[in-house]
Amino acid sequence: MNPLLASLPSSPGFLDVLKSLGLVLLVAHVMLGLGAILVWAERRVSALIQDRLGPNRCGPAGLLQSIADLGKFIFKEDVVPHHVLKWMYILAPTISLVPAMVTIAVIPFAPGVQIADLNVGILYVLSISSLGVYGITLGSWASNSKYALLGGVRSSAQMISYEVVMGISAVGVLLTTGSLHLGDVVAEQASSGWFLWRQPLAFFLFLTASYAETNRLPFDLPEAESELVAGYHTEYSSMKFALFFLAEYLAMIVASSLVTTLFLGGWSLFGLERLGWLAGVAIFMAKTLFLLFVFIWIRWTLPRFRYDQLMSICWKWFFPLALANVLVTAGAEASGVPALTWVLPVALLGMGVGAAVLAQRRDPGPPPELAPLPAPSSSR
Amino acid sequence: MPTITIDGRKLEFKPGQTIIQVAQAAGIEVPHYCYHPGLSVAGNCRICMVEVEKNPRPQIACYVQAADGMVVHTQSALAREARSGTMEMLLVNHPLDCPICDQAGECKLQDYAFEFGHPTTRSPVEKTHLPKAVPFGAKIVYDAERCIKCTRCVRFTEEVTRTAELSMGQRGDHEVVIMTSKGEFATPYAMNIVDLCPVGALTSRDFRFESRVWFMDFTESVCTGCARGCNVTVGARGGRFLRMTPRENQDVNRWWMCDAGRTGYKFVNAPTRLLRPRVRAGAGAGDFREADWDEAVAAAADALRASGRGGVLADAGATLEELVAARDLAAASGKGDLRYASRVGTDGDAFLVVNEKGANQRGAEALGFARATGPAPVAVLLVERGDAVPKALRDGADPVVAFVTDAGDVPPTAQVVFPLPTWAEKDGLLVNVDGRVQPVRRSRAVGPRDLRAPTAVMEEVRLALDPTAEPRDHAGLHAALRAVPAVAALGLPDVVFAPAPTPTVAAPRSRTR
Amino acid sequence: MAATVKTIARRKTTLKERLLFPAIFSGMKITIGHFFRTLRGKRVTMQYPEERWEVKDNYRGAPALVKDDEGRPKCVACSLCEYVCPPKAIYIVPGELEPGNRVERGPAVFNINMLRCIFCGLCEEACPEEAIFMSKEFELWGEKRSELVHDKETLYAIGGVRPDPIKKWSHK
Repeated sequence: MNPLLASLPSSPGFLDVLKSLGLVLLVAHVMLGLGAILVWAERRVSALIQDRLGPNRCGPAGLLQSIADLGKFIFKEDVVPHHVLKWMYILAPTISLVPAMVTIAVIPFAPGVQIADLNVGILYVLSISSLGVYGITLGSWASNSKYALLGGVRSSAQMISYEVVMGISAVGVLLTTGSLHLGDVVAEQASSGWFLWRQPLAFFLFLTASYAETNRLPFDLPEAESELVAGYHTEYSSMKFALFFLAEYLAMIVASSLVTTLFLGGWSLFGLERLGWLAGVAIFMAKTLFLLFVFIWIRWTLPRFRYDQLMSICWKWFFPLALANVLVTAGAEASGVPALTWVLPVALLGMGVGAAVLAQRRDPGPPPELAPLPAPSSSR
Repeated sequence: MPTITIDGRKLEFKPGQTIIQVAQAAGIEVPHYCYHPGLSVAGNCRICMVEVEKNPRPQIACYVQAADGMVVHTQSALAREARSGTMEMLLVNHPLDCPICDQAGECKLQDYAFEFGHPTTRSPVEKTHLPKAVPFGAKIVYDAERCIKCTRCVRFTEEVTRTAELSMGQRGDHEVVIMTSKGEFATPYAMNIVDLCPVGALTSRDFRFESRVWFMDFTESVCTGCARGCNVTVGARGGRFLRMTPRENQDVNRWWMCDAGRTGYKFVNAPTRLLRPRVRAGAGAGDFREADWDEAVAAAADALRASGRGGVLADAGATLEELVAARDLAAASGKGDLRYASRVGTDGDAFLVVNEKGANQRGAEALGFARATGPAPVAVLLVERGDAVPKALRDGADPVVAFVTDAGDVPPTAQVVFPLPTWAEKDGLLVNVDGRVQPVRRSRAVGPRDLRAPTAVMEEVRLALDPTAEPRDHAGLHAALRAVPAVAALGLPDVVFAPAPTPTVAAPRSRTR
Repeated sequence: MAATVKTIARRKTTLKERLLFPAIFSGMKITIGHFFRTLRGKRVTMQYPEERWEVKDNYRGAPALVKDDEGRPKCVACSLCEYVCPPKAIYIVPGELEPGNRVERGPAVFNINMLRCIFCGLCEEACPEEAIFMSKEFELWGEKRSELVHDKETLYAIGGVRPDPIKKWSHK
């Protein structure tokens, strides 16, 4: 026997391989199907928010709309502009799709229902999901188009910045759990309460950063239509565009399931998960779907930030706050007073109110009446 | 010379001139219906009333003779009110026929109603009902309701043609124009009354309901029906020649033209027109295939070179430019006679119609062309009207290169055949029976698209035969014409034609069908 | 003349607005409110083929020719609509009618190319005979371009009958 193989803790049995393979196929298909439904849901929800109906013609309630869209994407002319860097142009949509698909491998859907039970799960998630930016950057670079490149540059800067916030805000959770293992994080929440309550600031920062990570409103600068046509996928059409599109929705699913895992107790809900793994999956999916709804809801409520605002929020507010949260959490863990983690958000809230009151007092009101402009000289 | 003051302008006049003549000569427009310079003064329409100082009532400008020191106001309040009253009276019984009336758009009643008329009628009674669509012969339709009884048409038949087919009948608002002769007009100038009619009472059967005048494109040209060369205005729309009306020229046709000339445009609209050049497809008679222009030009040059034949047989309706280009093309190929063919009619009269039907017969003769007496082989054949060059002549000519207008006139033994534009589709000079050189002009709205000018084609072929030759445009051809003493003696005018249209790729027709 | 400047008094921002988050939440409240309201059936979308719009009288649909209440075609082919038509969608060949008719002239061919028509209504405005009207017809479709060139029969079929109290040609 190969000595290297023999040195492994325990070589997986044939059944384990089969089970993992089945799970991979299942999860991959569920993911893709969920992505398709999400596209439909986005359109229906946005329509309902705007007093419209949205697509309701294909299948019951328009559920098959995504199938029709897919048909359209497949049969559309696959334009490869002559000015692009061809191999990179073709590769980029795949590069952006694959990380989104792969990240889901370590998410525990229910106790034991997990494709890969990595002991460095959270690190894996952060590292793989940050690869998604390569697809966008390469695609925009290969497009050889100004708008696409601007979108790509914005995207890479934005994603790198918010990844920092994302990672550091997750540290609070990991400090409390004492493990990088995502299964342990969920188990910890199941036994002693969701991190939503124990790490409120981290939750807020992580959620916001995940919006930025997935290029969703109010942080969709990379594809800001009014400024950049369509951002990094300006030059893409047909299935290549569909892949980018799908990658964006899959990234949403991954982000939602990550937030569920880290802060909303994963598969746990008042002990209902003890009914069996199916109940765990159902609970997990319910939470994820709710978060996805919030994604859509936020998108159709908030306008887009300006790019400088986006960056200053990240580096001047979220980053220091995330660092402070790590310090406070460490203090809370060391002193054994978990409630200490609430000090920061409460203090922030107080400071915010105070600043607003002060600002209101200093509001100079409307500017003084402007003097009439001098009459235009009529000399000829 | 005595002077008269009209609208503040001091004008000289010859004794005997009427106020309207003096005013018109000075460019002062006085409204009129019944007055026509070519007819006697009737003074019955009363629209030309002007104010003459020291005269208590307005006077009709067409009848009152100018007198020394007379002061006339054509636009005073009195004159305008007088016209306004006349218009109101004329419109009491005039039907609201404008939507179906051919005259609409060039109707004096419309123009003056617009200027002097009332928006509504004050007459409480229903308009008179008179016969409508009465045939006056086969060519003219009379509508008594529209008639304003100016008697221009009656005076025309009495004074110009002296045939007196028309007269006024009945009285008051039952007055109508009636035909004194039963059935047909005796005069071949009857359709002039359609032009004379200031309203739409007399309409031409030929042009009836063909087109509203505001859609039409008008070109000043010369009739080629006979050698008289009456000056005409060609009206056309959407590729179709629709009508021809006489244009005043005191030296040629005064204000008139004959009916035969007026309706002699039909061959222009013929569906059998030749539209594309043809080249030989085989040795058999009539064995042709269609070719594009450049290919046909090359084929023509090859055929001429191979035949070495010279000589021209031309329709006497061809322009001077075409004749001289054909002469030089044939000379570049070989030696031969220059001959022309034309129809000789029997309907010539002392007024306008002449027996020689070739519109440019005098020009051809001046260029050294002689009348063709029998068939003889030629290098170049030009046929605009099939009846001008009889079949025996054109087939017997066995031409190398033929320019024909109608596909039915193609000589079966020709080597290359080019479509020939009709006189309404090309620019050129014609010499009339009196030796007067007059231009025909290309109408923008007549004929098929992208026909090339025959002069340009002939010059291209000549250049292909003789690469050292200088290409000539209209000016170059005119210089060649002036080099012929007999032509120069005619006094070639310096006519400037509109630039030839740039050849376009068959543009989509602007009209939907 | 001096340019006049109008100063618009701006409202002071309130404390709630300055705090940002209340504004965000109230925005989300509004959107979710609309979401549930639309879900309960209050919507602006019309389910077109099943639900139909009540076409107003001043609607400018496909131009059409009308007959009077005696069934006589009113058009006399005066070509004014053809003249006034900005996109040149109208093509008319006038024809002479039988002597028995009240009017001597009518259209031999009357085509309106609906691919060109811009529904401006100038034809209706120009018509001296009140023969052409903008109908309420808006469902214009065809499988070939030629099907969208409405000929005389189609135009009379769309236009139908429009009572004419004057009947000018019968007692003109």
